[in-house]
Amino acid sequence: MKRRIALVVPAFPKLSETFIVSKFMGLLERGWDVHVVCSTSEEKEWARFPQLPPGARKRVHRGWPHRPKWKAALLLPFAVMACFQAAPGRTWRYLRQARHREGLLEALGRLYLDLPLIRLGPDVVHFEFGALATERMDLRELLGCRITVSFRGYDLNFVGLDQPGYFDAVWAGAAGLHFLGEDLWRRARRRGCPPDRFHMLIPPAIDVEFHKRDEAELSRKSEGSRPLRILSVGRLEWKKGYENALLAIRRLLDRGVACEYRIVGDGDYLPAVAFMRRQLVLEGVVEVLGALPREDVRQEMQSADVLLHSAVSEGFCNAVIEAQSMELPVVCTDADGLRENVADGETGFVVPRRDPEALAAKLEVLARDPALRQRMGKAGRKRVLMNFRLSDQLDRLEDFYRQVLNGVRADAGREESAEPPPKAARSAVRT
Amino acid sequence: MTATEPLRLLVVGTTWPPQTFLGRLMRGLADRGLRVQIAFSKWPDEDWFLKSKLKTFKTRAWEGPIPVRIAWLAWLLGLAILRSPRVVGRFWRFASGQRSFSERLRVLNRLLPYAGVPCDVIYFPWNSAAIDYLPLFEIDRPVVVSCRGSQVNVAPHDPRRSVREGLPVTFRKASLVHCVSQAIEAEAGRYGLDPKKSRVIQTGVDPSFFSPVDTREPSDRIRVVTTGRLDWNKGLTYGLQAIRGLVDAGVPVMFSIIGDGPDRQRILFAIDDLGLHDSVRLLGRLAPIAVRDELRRSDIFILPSLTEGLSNAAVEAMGCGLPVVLTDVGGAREAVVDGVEGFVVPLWDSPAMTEAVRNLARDPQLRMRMGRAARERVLRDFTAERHFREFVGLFEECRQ
Repeated sequence: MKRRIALVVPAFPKLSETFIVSKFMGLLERGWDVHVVCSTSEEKEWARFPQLPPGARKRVHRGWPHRPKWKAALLLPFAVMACFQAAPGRTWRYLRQARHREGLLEALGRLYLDLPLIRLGPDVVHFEFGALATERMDLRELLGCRITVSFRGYDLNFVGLDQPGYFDAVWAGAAGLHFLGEDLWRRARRRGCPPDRFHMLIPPAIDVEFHKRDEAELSRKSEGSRPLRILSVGRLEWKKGYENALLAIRRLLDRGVACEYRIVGDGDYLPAVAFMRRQLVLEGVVEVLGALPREDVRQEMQSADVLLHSAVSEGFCNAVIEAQSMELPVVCTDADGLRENVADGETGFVVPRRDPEALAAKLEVLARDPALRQRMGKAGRKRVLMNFRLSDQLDRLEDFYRQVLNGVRADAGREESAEPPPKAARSAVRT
Repeated sequence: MTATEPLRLLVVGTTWPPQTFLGRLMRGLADRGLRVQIAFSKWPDEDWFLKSKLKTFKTRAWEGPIPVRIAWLAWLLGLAILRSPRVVGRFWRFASGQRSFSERLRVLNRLLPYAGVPCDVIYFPWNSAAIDYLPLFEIDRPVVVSCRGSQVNVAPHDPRRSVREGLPVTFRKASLVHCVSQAIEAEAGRYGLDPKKSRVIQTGVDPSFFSPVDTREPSDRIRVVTTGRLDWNKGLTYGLQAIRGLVDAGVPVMFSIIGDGPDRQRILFAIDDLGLHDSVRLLGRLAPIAVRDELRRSDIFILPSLTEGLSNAAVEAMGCGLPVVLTDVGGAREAVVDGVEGFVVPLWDSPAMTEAVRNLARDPQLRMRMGRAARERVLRDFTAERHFREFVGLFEECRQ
């Protein structure tokens, strides 16, 4: 029988975290007993994922409400009963140990929060974001499971930067660490991760069949003198650095390059983007489309000429992979994982972050050279097929979990470690 | 009514505790004989408040357990009907126009505390408050609205808020409109503010509180300081890039950031990403006296804002005798003449800010000259005394 894996995320499913859905479905199809533990799961998000199989809902476990507090207190006895009913031995062990650590009341409080995990009793608890794991590493003893953690960008880049040793418990207790790329692994070591920890570098992957240029529509694209269509896909957050993108567009226009800029995404920085659009007199040039379902995003990519990604901090960026897969040349910054994502000069251009001038210069090069755009687009597609296929990613993920389950003992925080396997080494794509 | 009777002012739409500058304004007005009435949502225990002559009454946010909300609303309703049934009727009709039942209750909960409060002038210190409390324009009292900055500069462009639609309505209905700078007045004009209604009253600080010290502690580094909410519109990442530029140019510098806010993580990341650990201190939110002491310990004040009304923070620093470097937004040029009290540098241009700070850093004479000019400018144009006097005049003008 395949082993049981619990993926821990804040919300599932979620449009901006489609990669979790892909991972969940992929592992499921390959026969793993995979479950998702989350705190919210919204109906309108489920509607955006028709591809999720009918049985998926049974595998998604929501925590019980912990606010308002009186509600949680009322529900607590039922939670304890539910745990004992599902797994008496495990619950007993959990309570005994937790009580030993922090007293009965705290133990019960923790049980309430960990309820879905106690009932599941997984072999591996996988925290999909590093920041989720920091205070929950004792699940290893409480549940007798192995803990694995993914680092996807924001966690290592800026969470807890002002607290030295923020991730120390994770480094010590995780049976396996997953990083999207070389840059994050380097950051992890800078933030105290011993270099001998068992880890794998597995870049994100996409559905290369879905994100494929529709050749029938290609003829429309090659029309002569229309403005350059620039597209960005990403949440409206500070880390995406949209101010630099807008400044670059301003400069591009000032140099007489006709262009239009569309932004797919929504978020807290909408007021900032809207304000800058007005301040830089870009109304009519820049359009913010909000969050879109993936079919619409594909359509946007289909009709765009260039993908612009101005991030100051970025784990790896799926949208950039998708754009390359759609044969769009990419102009992006050198923020973190983007350097590994785009081959500079081949599938697009990588320029210093916080440098609108550099972005504008590369956009201008692409604007004036349709043949170059096409060449880079083709190279992008090739690169994605080589490096970022979903099936390859799933192979590696399976490999990761097998190694965690076989090679490393559950309580082996410190003793055992493994060199990254050759497959992972290959994932460190050319820079 | 004679002018000798104290003017009763009703202040609507402040958060509690109010922003430091707003608290000062309220106290200043109360000290000058106005009867200032202000609502609060939490029992104030701040020392300055207990000593002040402000009159207060209680409001409650529409949150918490449902029975408590209903009970509170019933209490409000009873009280309001006793005080002024006519106004309650007006509020009720406004609430009936809301889309959903819960929205109606929310609106009533917001409005009812103000029904029948005796006053001569209603004052909204924020545009957004005026928009939220629209029915208060209808109770036959003169209304004054303040245009302070981002609510005129930024909020109208936010597609999720209805400020763009709300501003013209409030400007039309208000008796007088206060603007913190001529720049804001011009911007508000785009939303229908009639210049005849508008009064520019620039910010003021207490020059005996924000005053220079004779001798600053010596330091082997240039001490640069900024204060403000850590928010995108303060442009702090550009400030940090400017500091990076100074470090690259070999200027020994220590940059202190006073304030807290939603952008804290962004700032932390930028410090880390730009390799500025040894050159930046993030001090968090400080009490006014600690802010003042930090200003007194510093050599140069910078403000890399992307948008401003007219910065209180900059004027406070000028009061402490600091040369200031401001970005050219809002009322910056109304507070500082480029090259006299400091420098005004272009927006989106951290090298320009680096250059200005560098000029000050390498020339102690220039710093001293500009610092002195800044202090003189505050004494001439930006005293709290003048600020309060003009506000009293504004409200009196309204009453007549």
